[in-house]
Amino acid sequence: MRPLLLALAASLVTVSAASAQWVTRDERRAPRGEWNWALPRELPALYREFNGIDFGHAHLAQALLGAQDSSSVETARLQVLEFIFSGPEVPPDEELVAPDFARAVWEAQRAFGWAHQLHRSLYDLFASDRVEDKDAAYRQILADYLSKPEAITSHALDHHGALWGFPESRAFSKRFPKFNAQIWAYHWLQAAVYDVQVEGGASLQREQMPKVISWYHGYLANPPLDWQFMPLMREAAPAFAERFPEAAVIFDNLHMLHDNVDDVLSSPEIYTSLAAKRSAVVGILDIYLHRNHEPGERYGAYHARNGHGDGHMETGPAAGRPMGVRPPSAREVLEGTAVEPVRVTGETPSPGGGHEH
Amino acid sequence: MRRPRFDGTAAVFLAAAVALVPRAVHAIDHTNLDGGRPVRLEDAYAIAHREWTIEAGFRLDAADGRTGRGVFGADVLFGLLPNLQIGAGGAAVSGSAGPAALGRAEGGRFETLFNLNQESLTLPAIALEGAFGFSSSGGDTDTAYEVTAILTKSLGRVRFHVNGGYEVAVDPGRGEDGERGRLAVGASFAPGAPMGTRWVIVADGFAEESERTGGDGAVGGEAGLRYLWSERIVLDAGIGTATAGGRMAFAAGAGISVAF
Repeated sequence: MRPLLLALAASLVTVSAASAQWVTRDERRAPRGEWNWALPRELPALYREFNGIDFGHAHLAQALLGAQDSSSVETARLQVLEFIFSGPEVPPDEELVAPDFARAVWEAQRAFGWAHQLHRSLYDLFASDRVEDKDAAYRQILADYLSKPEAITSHALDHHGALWGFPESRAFSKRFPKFNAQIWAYHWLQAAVYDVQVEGGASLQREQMPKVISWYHGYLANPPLDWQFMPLMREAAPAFAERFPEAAVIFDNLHMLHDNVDDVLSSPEIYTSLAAKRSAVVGILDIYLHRNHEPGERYGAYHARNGHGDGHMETGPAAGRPMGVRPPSAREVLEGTAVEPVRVTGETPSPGGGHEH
Repeated sequence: MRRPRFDGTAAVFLAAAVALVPRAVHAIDHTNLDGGRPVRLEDAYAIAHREWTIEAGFRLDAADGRTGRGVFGADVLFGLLPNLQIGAGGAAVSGSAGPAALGRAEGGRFETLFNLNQESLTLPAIALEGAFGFSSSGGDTDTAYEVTAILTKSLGRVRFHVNGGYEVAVDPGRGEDGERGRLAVGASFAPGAPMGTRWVIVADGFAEESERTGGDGAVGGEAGLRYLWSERIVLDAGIGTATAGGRMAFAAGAGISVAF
């Protein structure tokens, strides 16, 4: 037995000496508060939608690391829809859904995970009737989020310009437009529900949320291909973005980072190896991390200059690019004034069918 | 160190023990294996920073064809720092008939696990664990110290784990100390992945030296299931068997982990 232990110790030393890809795990629990777990308790249907979205992001990353023929990627897209419409009761284990992505670029997975945790904390907060001073709790949650090294910055970045001017930019939306539109639909829901939440307590949210979820399901059935850019927080949730601008900027940055990563993974002609993909993703991630903007500024060239937090139509090689039809706000959906998405044909699972989890 | 040390025939029970003395589970990352839930194998990851976990389990032991004992255990774990967890727990025995009476499952323990890194494409995840245990029997208090190195490396969606530990036990009643090494190797995977990750299967084979010079070592195997009941609760169940000096032992157990 002792020789075995010595061999084990020697192997530890050997791998410890290998600096390549050495990264710490750094899993964190969300801040504690009376709001914890309010979302699954008060709005279980919405909670299940978010579980499906978690799967959707992870499954896409894994699919793009495999053979990128249109058939296999479309199959992955339909699997995501099957998963979402199954109403998953628990979040998926994303490391099992996308094991290659997690092992290749844990830094990105960690940043995504922590930002998604912020999403969940805020959904919990606004779903909780036990917390009266939502603004104070928001500031507490935000401060805790930003204090961690993997936090995405609350500085407004130039999404439509500098951050969409990379050689691979738009590769994912060009090669896989339906899947791209589906991803943007997730981001629309993640944004829009905030405006429902800030309007009232859990009871009102339960009353209004089905209409927003139903609209989102319409996007899943008919991906909004006429959108030319991701949904922005100030479009889908203007009230929330006005009241909580830091979180709105963080989530826009998060969603743009998703797009940037998907573009890298969709560009095998540029990033020919997994190591090259990893290097590109880690480099882009660096631009988004809050610790690279405060206290010292390393990426000032990527800041938005229009004051809106997204840099649209302002700077960079993509300046002036049209944004196409823009998504509605939650209020427009609730009031019935939102424009119906353009219909596309295709086989798409619908609510009620699907896989059991 | 799942529990205070056992000796003699009790080593068989120790070896066969299908987890009782709990360790933690992350609320969402429920494939984070923990020794004792449901098998001794654990992975190299700690629970999340700031997370508390309570684990409890019940195990039935039998050896040499006779009914043995029931063992109940519970643990509390806390993510003290990123990648560092600490824990405390204990176990108690109900019934002492048969050869199980030779074993001493009662006692308490303190432990800590530090994860050094996340598994990458080339590197395994690595962790070091330290534990201190104590147990009482016949007025004596035995103590034991153990250090364990843990490796986790995946192939596709199957995770392989190696746990290598070394224990030093002090037994004032017998006026002697004992040392022994332990090795457990196994794997875990979710058969429904990627579409379903709530069920996880885990199995291992293990070998343990006897703490007594010239004593019989034990070898055995375990298998179990983990089920993510909710985002915060994991249920588990497992079975195991072991042999030492020509004597066989069997165990079956179930438990629960609750994160908060």
